[in-house]
Amino acid sequence: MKRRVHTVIGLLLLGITLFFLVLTILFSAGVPVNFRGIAVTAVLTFGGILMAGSLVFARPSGNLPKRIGFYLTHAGIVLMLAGFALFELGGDSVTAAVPVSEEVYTYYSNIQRENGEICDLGFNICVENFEIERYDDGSDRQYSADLLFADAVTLKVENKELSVNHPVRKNGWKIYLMNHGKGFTADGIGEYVNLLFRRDPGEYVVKAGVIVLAAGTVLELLVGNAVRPHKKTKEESAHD
Amino acid sequence: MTDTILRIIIIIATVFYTAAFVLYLLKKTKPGAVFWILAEAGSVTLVVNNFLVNDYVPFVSMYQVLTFASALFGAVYLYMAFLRDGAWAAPYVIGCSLILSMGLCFMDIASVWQFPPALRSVYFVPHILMYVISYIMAAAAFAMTVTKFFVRNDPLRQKQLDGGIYDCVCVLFPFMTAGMLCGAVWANEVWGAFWSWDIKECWALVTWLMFMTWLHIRRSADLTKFRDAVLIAGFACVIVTFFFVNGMTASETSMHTYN
Repeated sequence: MKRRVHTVIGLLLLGITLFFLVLTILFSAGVPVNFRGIAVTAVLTFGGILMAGSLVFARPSGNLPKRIGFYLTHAGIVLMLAGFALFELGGDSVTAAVPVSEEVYTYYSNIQRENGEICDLGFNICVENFEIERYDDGSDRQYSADLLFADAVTLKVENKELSVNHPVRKNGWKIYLMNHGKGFTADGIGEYVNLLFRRDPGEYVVKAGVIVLAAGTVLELLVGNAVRPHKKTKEESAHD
Repeated sequence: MTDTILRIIIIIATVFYTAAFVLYLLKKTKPGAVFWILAEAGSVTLVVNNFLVNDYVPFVSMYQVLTFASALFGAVYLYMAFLRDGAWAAPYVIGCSLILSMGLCFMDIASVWQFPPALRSVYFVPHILMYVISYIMAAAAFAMTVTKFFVRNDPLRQKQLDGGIYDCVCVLFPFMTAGMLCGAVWANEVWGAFWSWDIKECWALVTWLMFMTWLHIRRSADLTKFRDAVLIAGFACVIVTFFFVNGMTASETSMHTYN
């Protein structure tokens, strides 16, 4: 029975891997593939159930680190999938080209989505200043923006510096500096920065999954194998 | 050091790797080890020089990453010999270093990447380092898998190679997982999403799935015949992910393409 279970799991994973390989080859050749759609329907449901099932029914063998590692590895994947599902259920993501203020500070609190809907951020944001650090050849090394947040009720103003790789958090949103440019903006022709506003209720669940999965593979494969090294048999030694 | 001196070191290291590889194949391990140590000394010198030139980790060009990988195969041998009872694996790791070293002879030493803002992150070094470690273990496992086809009539040798391949994957997989997860956390800081279904990410995921599948099917006696094929496919995916993704049609819109 156990042998058959391993065979079924092996074939299942082989099928999933080959299916994904074919999709990736098609995608590489320029064929549009809706990976996200496939992932949301297949991975989050089917994958989650499969992983959770493995945690409940599997009886891992081997030494203690291997057994603990087995549970952590699979639990890590379940946590990550749950975190992704939380974003799909209650997350939000919207981008906006926000003009850099010149003489008058302009605050924004509503952003129009691509489908025309208005997204209320729940705070007022203004890009006070924008700076680009360049290499000798003129290419961008780093860029940063000074953001101002104004509270509509208390009128209290808060300043935060935003740069690439260093997003800032505000009222449950995480704000990212994506890129910058010059052109038509809401304030006329001028400099603007492209900001991404993202609200992800699953962020910390995914991060917990990342730590648990990484720790699981280390315990199961590195530590688990170091505890009981493979000893040569007499025949193998003779063969050398 | 000037480019000429560096080129001479690369060529001498390649010649010494070749001598060590041939001597190990002829079972003359002691003179082989001398040439190997000298070749490794050359590779390590190149890595240290890259470090000093950059005043940063030696990962700022394909040449530098491959030089580091070539030197790191020595550590793979130390792991195999002292922790896995696998001193027999020497010719495999020397062969891998040799192939990389031959490639270095034809590479541009001087050109370096200028890191755009997205690459200037604390996650860059661990992400690259973990992937380099996992890829060199994949290369060693691949070399052993291919050798199995030439010793089909020797079950003991086959068993020894199977043990060596498993030992390599046991290092490869945790590092590949950590490298991928580190990339995901980094992506969440720079692009606002853990995963973007970008072409590079898709190939990295296929590679990870291949080795994950290998780890599962090796437990099934019914699927033994697929085992080597999956590992070879996994290494093929490593090569595609590392070398060829940036030249593909879909890479034009890739977030991982930096010009």
